[in-house]
Amino acid sequence: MLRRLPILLLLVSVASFAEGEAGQYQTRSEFLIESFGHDKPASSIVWINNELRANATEVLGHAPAMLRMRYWYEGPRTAWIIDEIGKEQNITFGVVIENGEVQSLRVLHFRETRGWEIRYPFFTRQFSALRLTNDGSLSHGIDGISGATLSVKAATRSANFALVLDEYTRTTSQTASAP
Amino acid sequence: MNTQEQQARLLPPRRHWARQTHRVLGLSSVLFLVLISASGLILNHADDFGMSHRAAAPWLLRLYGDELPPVDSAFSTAGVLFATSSNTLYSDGEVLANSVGPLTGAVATDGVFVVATGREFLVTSSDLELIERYAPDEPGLIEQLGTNDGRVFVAIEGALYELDLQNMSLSEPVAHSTDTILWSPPATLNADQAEQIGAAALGQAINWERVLLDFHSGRILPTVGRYLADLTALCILYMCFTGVFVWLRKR
Repeated sequence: MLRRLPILLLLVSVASFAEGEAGQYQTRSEFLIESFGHDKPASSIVWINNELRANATEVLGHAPAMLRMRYWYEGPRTAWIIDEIGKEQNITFGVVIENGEVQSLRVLHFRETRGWEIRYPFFTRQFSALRLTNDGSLSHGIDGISGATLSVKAATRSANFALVLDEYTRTTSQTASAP
Repeated sequence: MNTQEQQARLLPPRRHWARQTHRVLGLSSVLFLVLISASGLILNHADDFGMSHRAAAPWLLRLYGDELPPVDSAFSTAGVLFATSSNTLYSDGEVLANSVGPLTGAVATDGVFVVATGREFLVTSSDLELIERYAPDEPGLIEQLGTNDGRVFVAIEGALYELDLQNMSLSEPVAHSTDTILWSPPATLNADQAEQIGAAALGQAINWERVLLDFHSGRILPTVGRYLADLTALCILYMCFTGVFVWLRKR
């Protein structure tokens, strides 16, 4: 047993210092091509008015960082690119929604030093068919990943925010272009 | 009964070395174990307590030394100073956005400010509220940002583009000479401005979660703190192994 101790300690050390895989995984064009089949869908913006700001603040736990959100659409499908802080840095998510249901969630750019595991399909596929319930909560829970708690929370908040924005555009049929 | 057996009966029973060292190390490291466990528990819920968003107390900031983070880049336009330090963008000393690279330009046009980093544009209102961020797909780094007749121009790897603020897109300018574009020059900060931004960056970087994390890892103290934490971790590892060893031996 004692003779194996150094090997065990070595394994623990290697696991502790393993490098993450932060970086840009998908550009905006690549995300749009994946979402719509081409990179030129119609785009529009949503100005964050007081009503949206209040909803967003409840969902995100903080006021939205920007005054307007850009989105792309084709038929009932909308795509949103949302920056949300994981622990200290922004994580850029791409969320595709159709008829009020999340079709896919992608991690476009991960800047944190930990938690990059959220990019993998075993995690992102949990967001499929996620929708807002009548009371504004999410239709189902998202399982966490050990060691990536804050990134998981950021992904969940982003999906929730995108659903709120999508619902707003559908109810207001807002397709006004930027001023 | 021979003499050896008599002596063995008089002496207290000898404990195994693993059991003895397990007990001694357990007692000696109990205080550190309690502190590390408690700080670990709180750290696990730091987000719920909002610790990552609260700057540490000024007396704690002083423990982290007198050196303020340097200002990485600065541009001034229409009386507003935009500067970056520790990946955060400040406008007139206030936080505007995070996860931002060094600036390459800042211009004012049509009641908005446009700020460029190597990879993206940030548009703010005249009240310095962030309107939108836009990272173009064009390959290469944004080198310069300039204006002419209220239009915004960008140089990316030597190529000239016009930035459309309505649609947030880049297009090739129509018959435009780079000579007439007023490129934004970097700003030179005085000592007070650099100190103000550095102090803000330090407050951003050192929040309560960071303090607790440093306490948990022993880095709150100079070198000795890290070694104490290492020693405690080694004690825990040793006790894990000896604990299992003693248990197996008893069976």
